[in-house]
Amino acid sequence: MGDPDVPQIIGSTDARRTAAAGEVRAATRPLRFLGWLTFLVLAVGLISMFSYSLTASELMRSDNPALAAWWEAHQFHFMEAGATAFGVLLGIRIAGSFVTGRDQRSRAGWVALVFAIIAFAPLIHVCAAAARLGWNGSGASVASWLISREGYETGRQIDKIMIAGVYFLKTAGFALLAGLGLMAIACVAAIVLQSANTETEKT
Amino acid sequence: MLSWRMLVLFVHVGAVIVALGGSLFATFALAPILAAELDARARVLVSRRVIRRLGAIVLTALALLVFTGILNVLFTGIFSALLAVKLVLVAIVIVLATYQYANVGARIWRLSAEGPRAELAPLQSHFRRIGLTVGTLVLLIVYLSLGLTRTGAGTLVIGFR
Repeated sequence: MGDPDVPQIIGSTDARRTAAAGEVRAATRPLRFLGWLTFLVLAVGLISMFSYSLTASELMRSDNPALAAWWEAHQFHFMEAGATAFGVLLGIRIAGSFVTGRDQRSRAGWVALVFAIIAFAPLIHVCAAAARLGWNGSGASVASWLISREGYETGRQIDKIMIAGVYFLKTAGFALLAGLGLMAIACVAAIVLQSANTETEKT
Repeated sequence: MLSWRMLVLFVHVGAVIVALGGSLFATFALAPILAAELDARARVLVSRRVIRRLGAIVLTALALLVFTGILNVLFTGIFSALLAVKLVLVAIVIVLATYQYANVGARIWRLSAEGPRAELAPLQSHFRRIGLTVGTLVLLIVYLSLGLTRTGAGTLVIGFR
């Protein structure tokens, strides 16, 4: 960290200390809104997941039947989209934290974000389809174990939440890989751009 | 016979070959020859450009590996514990490769602009170590992939199924 040429190293926090000058410099973190966006999509995904698994739309059916019908038709897609967005953003953030240099990290983050927006719709379908692939028949034994332990009603509810939760996690897991891949491409773009800039400066 | 599945598999395997082969060539063929044949300044100037270009190639290959891998999972239609382990290893490899080229490689690029410096040696050593770790993990992933194919499943994945 003592080298002024290397202002930011992996693992550093918001308030970055520049040891060379002996001062504390509050460096603005690039793409700060990514954190909020990740939290937002996680919240949307989790709410949709619990609503889907607990059939929460039934609660508002008497008050607002139209909204309840709309939500019932779309909550599953919200869950899939939330899980995919969460995974992709998490992947971008994880890989982004390993990129050195504020400018380069910010540039790579923006490029990855643009790629993610372009690829988001197909990614939802691909990640959700991959997440629907089952392990094997062990799910049935978990369900019967839960029912025998908690009783039929509670056991079925817990089992539904577990199924939706595993689906959410698997979708997010595949999307995380996609996010890491997008960040890798974005890093390539940043590397090529930086190399081109250096060559231009030389000439 | 060409099909989408074959094309995706071809790109997937090709990406592994490019990522692994490039790293192995740079570590075991290029680096020793550069050290033997060139003086310190020329070696640093050449290797910084090699790291840069290799980084672009390896990271692109790894990104292709991820996307074709997810499509492969869809084509295969099987999700097993072995696949889950493989996917976790793939995630680790991409994170390590990103760290190797976008962090350590970028620092080498910046520091070596004016020729040899004392700080470069530990960075280059660190870069090589990460490269070897990535290479080993990719080999492990290839080995696990054999277990996911129909013929090798019985012999390779004892304990997973």
